[in-house]
Amino acid sequence: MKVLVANRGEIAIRIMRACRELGFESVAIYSDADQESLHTRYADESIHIGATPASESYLNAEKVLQAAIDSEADAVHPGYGFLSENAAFAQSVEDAGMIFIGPLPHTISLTGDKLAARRIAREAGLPVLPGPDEAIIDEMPAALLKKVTYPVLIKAVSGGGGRGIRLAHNAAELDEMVQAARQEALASFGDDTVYLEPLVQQARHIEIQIIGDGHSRILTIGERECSIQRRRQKLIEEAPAPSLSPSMREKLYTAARDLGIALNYRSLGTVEFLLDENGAFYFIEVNPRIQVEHPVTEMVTGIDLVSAQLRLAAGQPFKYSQDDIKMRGSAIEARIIAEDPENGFLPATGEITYLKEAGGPGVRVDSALYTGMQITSDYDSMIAKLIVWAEERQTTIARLRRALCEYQIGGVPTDIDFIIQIIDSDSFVQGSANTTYLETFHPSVTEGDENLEKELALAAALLEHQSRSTTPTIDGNSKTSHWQYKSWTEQMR
Amino acid sequence: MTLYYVNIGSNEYKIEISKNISKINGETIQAALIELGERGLFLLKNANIKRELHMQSQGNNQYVMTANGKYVVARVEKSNGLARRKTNKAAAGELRAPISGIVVSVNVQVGDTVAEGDVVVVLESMKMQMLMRAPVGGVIASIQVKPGAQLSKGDLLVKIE
Repeated sequence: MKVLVANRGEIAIRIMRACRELGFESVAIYSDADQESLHTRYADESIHIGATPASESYLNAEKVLQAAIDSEADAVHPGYGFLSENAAFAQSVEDAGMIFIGPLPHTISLTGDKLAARRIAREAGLPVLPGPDEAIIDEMPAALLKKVTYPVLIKAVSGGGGRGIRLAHNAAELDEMVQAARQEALASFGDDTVYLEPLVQQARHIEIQIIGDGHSRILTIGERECSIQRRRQKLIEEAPAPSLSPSMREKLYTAARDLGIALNYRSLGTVEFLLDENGAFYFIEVNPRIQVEHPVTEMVTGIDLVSAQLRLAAGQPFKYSQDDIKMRGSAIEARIIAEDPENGFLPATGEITYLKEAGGPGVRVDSALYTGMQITSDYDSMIAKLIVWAEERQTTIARLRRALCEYQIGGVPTDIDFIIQIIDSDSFVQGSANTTYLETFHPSVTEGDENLEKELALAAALLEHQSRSTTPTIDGNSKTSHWQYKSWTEQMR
Repeated sequence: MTLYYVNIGSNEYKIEISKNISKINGETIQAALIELGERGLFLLKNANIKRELHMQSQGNNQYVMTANGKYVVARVEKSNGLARRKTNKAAAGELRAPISGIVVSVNVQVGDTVAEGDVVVVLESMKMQMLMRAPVGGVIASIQVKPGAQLSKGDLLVKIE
């Protein structure tokens, strides 16, 4: 089988690695900005599809489809983001006689319409958040406005990945937040229809991994907890969910399986739930694709989800039954994001000048980083994922801390230090953090940090001192190394 | 002996460097900086402790440093006995791009009156939209950007008077 991977970055490489292990050929696509990117070097073939903006390359369904046809691919794997939840694209792939590695296009349309997904979940017997299932297309209907209870979430009907969502605390904020949600939804999904959903306070985000064969056979492959979020973007994910009772776990598995059966689900999917402080749970949405955080499930179950997905697409039956799927130990993933703590944690850009990735027992790095890579504002700011596994959760946390300290990225600031501070905090260690934890999280400075900072200050002063004394003409802008100066001064003797 | 002031975040360190001995905030340390073969990679050797760190000059006596999970920007100033210069604070009425990205929309026109906190420009960077709010109330004196414009960090968006 020949698989065109319609994505970039770490997930493209992740999928190609699975292809290689299965003996499948892989085809990369790339934009102008990705001429040298690792996924193009890793693939068996690479096809240039367009200019740097995603709308002219990775999000351009026609160009991606043409690349698949030109490369004579048998199948297209969309990864996550970009075209992965675009039903029309999935349909066009299948219409062209290729396999779309994901759910049926019809399923993607249903899960992509959040109001339709709520309806199907309700019919399948899942608890769904109460709320007016009313699409707000233009003006806010006056009747709806009267019924709103605050705080309320405004969510894009075509949304996903935490985008196109805003929170209004009161009626005064509602209008501005509706406009903001619409604007982001239009830019991200091409549809500015929104709906309202009550906010679950003190919520925990728990999701169930499912895989279906498209013939009503659904397996659940454990759960993941993704409560550590910022600006509605997941930052740290783990499996299994800490402090989830066995009975609640069973309830969630059953609900996810029921929904999978109702959708006659094919391929990998994730059913997301919110758990409130009273032990109630609510369906939020189905993600009809591989998730960013899938490695934690792979670490605790030993199942290679992407290979399973590829084998299924190639027409091979499941290799295992529900009873074969067991979780062992504890796994945590940290998303490494290019962002600047000194600039309000806004995404950061620049060149990767130095790279030393973490290693050792129980450590997995899913990354597409290389020295000399330019991090630009054109694509997502998540640049790598660090995943660790250990026998039990406290050891996993210690191992993650160790691996984060090993992970050295020069040239662009990242969230590595911030993540270390989160996983060191009591709430995280106890496994009790909810989705609002980071809104009020204040990192504490430790003695070790102070000593390190002192050493760094000294090193900077020493370097400045050396550069001044080596040659009086050297200035900070010089790209020439200290060694080149040394050889230069030696020649002058 | 040469005296340097190093700023990291909100902390300032007073560092004296002599031939074999250094002092940080008055505390004596016998440390040496060794450059490794790989560009920008150093060892700070302090007694029996070797600390690996990556340092890169950004110009203007500014260094970007990575070590042990930390990423810091250090500003080094050599003391010359004169009063040290203070970094210029951005003019109050200037709204600048906090990050590189694209202008999604400009919600005001020259001459409009805005209150502090009003959304003036919407930016998009790395798939995230950001509402740029007026830092002060006043009248829009000039608009430097158009929807679709590509911006670099620090570019002027709007002036408010």
